[in-house]
Amino acid sequence: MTVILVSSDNQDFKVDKEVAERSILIKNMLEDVGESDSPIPLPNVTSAVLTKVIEYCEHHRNDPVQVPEETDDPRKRSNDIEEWDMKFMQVDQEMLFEIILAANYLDIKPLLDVGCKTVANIIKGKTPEEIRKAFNIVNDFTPEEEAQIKKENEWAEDR
Amino acid sequence: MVSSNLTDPATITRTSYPNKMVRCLELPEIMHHIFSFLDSRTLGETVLLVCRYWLELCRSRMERRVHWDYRWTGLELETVLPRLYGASIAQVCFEGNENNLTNNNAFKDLLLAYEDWYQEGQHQQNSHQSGILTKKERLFNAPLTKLEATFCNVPMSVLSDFPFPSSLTNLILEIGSSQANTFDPSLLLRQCPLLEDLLIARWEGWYVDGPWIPRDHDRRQTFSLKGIALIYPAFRQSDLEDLLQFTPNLVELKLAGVMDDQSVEISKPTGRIQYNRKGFCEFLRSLPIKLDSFLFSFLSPTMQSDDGTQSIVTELCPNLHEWCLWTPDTTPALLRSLESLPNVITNLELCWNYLEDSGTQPCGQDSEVNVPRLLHQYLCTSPHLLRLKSLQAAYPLRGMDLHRRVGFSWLTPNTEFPWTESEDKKHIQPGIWACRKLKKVELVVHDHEGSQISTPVSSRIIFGYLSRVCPELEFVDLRVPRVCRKDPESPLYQPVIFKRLDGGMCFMTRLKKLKLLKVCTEAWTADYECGDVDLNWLLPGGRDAEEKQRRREKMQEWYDWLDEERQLEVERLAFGTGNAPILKSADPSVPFDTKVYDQLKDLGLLSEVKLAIEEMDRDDAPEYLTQFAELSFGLHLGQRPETIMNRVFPDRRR
Repeated sequence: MTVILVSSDNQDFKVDKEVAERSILIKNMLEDVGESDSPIPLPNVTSAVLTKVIEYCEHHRNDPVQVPEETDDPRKRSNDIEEWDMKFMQVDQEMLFEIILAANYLDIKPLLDVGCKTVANIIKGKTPEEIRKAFNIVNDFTPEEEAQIKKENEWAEDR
Repeated sequence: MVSSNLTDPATITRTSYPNKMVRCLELPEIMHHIFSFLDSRTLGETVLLVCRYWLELCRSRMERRVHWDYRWTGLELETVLPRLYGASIAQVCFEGNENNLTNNNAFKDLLLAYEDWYQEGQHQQNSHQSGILTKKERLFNAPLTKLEATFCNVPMSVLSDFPFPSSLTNLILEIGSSQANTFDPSLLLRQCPLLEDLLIARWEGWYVDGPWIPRDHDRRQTFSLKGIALIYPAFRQSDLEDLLQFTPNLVELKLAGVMDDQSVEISKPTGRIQYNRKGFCEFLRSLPIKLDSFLFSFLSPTMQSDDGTQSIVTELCPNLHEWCLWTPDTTPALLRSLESLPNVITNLELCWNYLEDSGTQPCGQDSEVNVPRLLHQYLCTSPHLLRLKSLQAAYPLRGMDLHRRVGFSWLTPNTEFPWTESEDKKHIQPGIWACRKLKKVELVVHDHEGSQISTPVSSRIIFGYLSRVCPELEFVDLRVPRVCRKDPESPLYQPVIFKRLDGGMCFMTRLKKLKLLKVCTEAWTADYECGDVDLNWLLPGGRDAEEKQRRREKMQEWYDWLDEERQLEVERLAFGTGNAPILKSADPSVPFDTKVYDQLKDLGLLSEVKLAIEEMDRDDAPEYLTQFAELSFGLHLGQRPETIMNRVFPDRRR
C-alpha cells in the first residue's frame, strides 16, 4: 500500500505506507483517517528536504522500533553514528538543520538523533569562537562577562 | 558577581543565523537534544561561552562537582569557598588527626560559610517571588545536594554536630578508624530536612546514640528519606521503628552487619541491645511502604537465626530488582532461590567485614560455604546481572584463569609446574560469566597463593577477561585484599594489580563505554617500576607520536619474556591443559559462548598485550576511551584522569 505526501512546494511523493510510517506524525494521521487515498500535506517540509527524509526512511524501513536505553548516565553518546547515516548527513549546514527541523516536525526520533549528534560532533573540540563562526552566531557577551564566566567556571580544571 | 542581565532572557539576542538555522538554533527542545550528546567538559569549557542564549540553555545541564583534598587544606576560606558555590556534588576525602582537628575545623568552617550563602540565596529567591529587588545573581547557583565524605581518624562524635548543609538530599559518610564511635542521627535529620538517601558506614562498628527523630520534631510531618543504609551499626530497634513510621517514601533499607553491644565497644554505658529480626520484618509489613531493596543481617553468626526472614523479603519488596546479601548468608540454596525469584535480579551486593575473622572465611576455599566459589558459579550461570558489588567478599582469580596460565610469571621453561589441578570438589573451575551485559563491577580479586596474584600475568588475566566477557562495562573498580585469611601472617601475600604496561591494563581500551576506572592496590611501591609511559594511554595527550614511540621502546624490552612465554605455552599444551574443563551453565537458556571463549584464547599472555598496544597505537586506529572521565589509583573517589596522572607523575611530559 502506498501513500502520497505533498511537500510545501506542492510536489507529490508516492511512498510505501511502511516507509511513511517511520514518521510517528504520519502514522498517527493515517490511523486517525483510516483507509483513504487522500494526499497528506506537509506544509513545513520542502521537496528537497522531503526527498532526503524519504531516502532515510527507505533505508531504515526494517529497523526495529527504538527502545530507550537503560543507562546510569543521562548523557548520551554522539560517536556511534552508523556509516550509512554518517554519509547521509554529509550535506551543507542549511540542509542539516532543515533535516533536523523536519525530523522534529514529522516525529522521526532516530533521524532527529542522528541530526543532533552530527551537530554535537561539529561543536566538539572547537573553541567558542570557532563555534560562533561555524553557526554564524554573534558574541553578545561583554569582555567582563566573558571573564566572569571563565572565572566562575574554573572548577572544570579542578575536579 | 555576574551582571544580573546576563541571565535575563529578555536581554538575550538571537541574530544573524541563516533562515532555517535560526529556527533550529532557537528551538530550546532541539538545542537541549543537541547538548544532551555533549560531555560536561565541552559544555562547561566552550558551549556556555558561545552566547547568552546558549549559556542560559546550558546552565541547567551543568552538573558541577568539587573534590576536597589535601590541596585545599591550609588555604584561606575566601579562596576555597567560591569553589563550593553552585556545586551540586561535593566529594571529601582526607585523613584527620585525632590530636589535631585542623582539617575537620577547616571543613566545618567551610560548610558553615556555605550554609550562609545558601540561606541567603533561598532568602533572595523568596524575596524575588514577592517582587522585591534581588541582589546580583551568581552564574552557577545550584544547591549542594550530594555529599560523599570519607573520614579517617575523625572521632565520630565530631560528625554528630557537623554543619551538614540543609540543601543535602544525599549523604554518604564513611568513617575510618577512630576512638569514639557514637553518632546522634537526630541532629542530622534536623539539619537536613530534604535528605532522601543516607548511608553511614564505620568498618569497626558504631552505635546510634539516641533516637532518630529530633525531640522538637512536629510528628505531623514526615521525612523525605527514600534510602537508609547503615553498615555495621548497633542501634535500638524501637528507635529505628519509630523513625520508619515517618518515612512513607522509603524504598531501600539496608542494615548490614548489625552488631550488638557485645560486638561493638560502645563508649558509654547503655542498656542491653537486642534485636528481633522477625518482629522487625513484621513491623515493616504493617507499614504502607513497598521496598525495592531490603537487608537485615547480623555481624556475628551467633546472632543469626533461621527465622524465615528471607521469605518475607519478597513480600516486603514486590518490585525487588536488587539483592544485597550478607556474605555469611550466601548459601547455595539462597543463590538458587535468587534465580527462581519472580523478578529479574540486576544488582547484587555482597557484604563482609574484612576485619572480623569469625564465621566463614571470605576467601576460604576450605570452608563449608565457599562464598568465592558460589559467587563465581552465580556469575557464570545468571545472565541478567547489570551491577555487581563485592568489595568485602573476594572473587577467586582462578575463576577467570581459563587456560591455567596464572603461574607463568614465576616459572622458567622446564620448571615442574602442577598444570593439572586437584580433583577436589571445592576446587574452583574457571568459567565465563553469563552476565555479559554487566555495566558496573566493584570487585576484590584474590588468590590464596600470594605469589600468584602478585604478577603481571594475574593482572593480564583480570583485565583481559573483563574486557572481553563484559564489553558493556562503564564502571570498573578492582581491588585486592590486604590479607589472606588462610594465612594472615604470610609475608608472601603481597597482592598487586599491575598498572605497568605488561600488566595489561590497556585492555580497558576495549571497553567503549568505560567512564570510571579505579584500580586500588594497597602499596603503590609494590607496582615495580611503573612510570608515566605505562599509563599515558589513559589520556588523549598520551596518544601522540612521541608517546607511541616510548611505548614501542618499552615493548622492545620484552623480547626475552616473550621468548620464555612461547616455551612455557608449548609445555602447557603438552600437559593437556589447553582443554581444561570450563564451568558451564546447566541452564539451556544460557548457551556457552564459544565466540568469546575464542577471543580469550590468549588470556594472560604478554604477547596479547603487545598486540593490543600495537593495535591501539596504529595511525588509523579508532579513537578509544571516548567516555572515560574518572580515574582513581587508591581508595579515593574518582577524579579527572589528568588530575590523577599529574599528581602521580608530577614530572611527566605534558
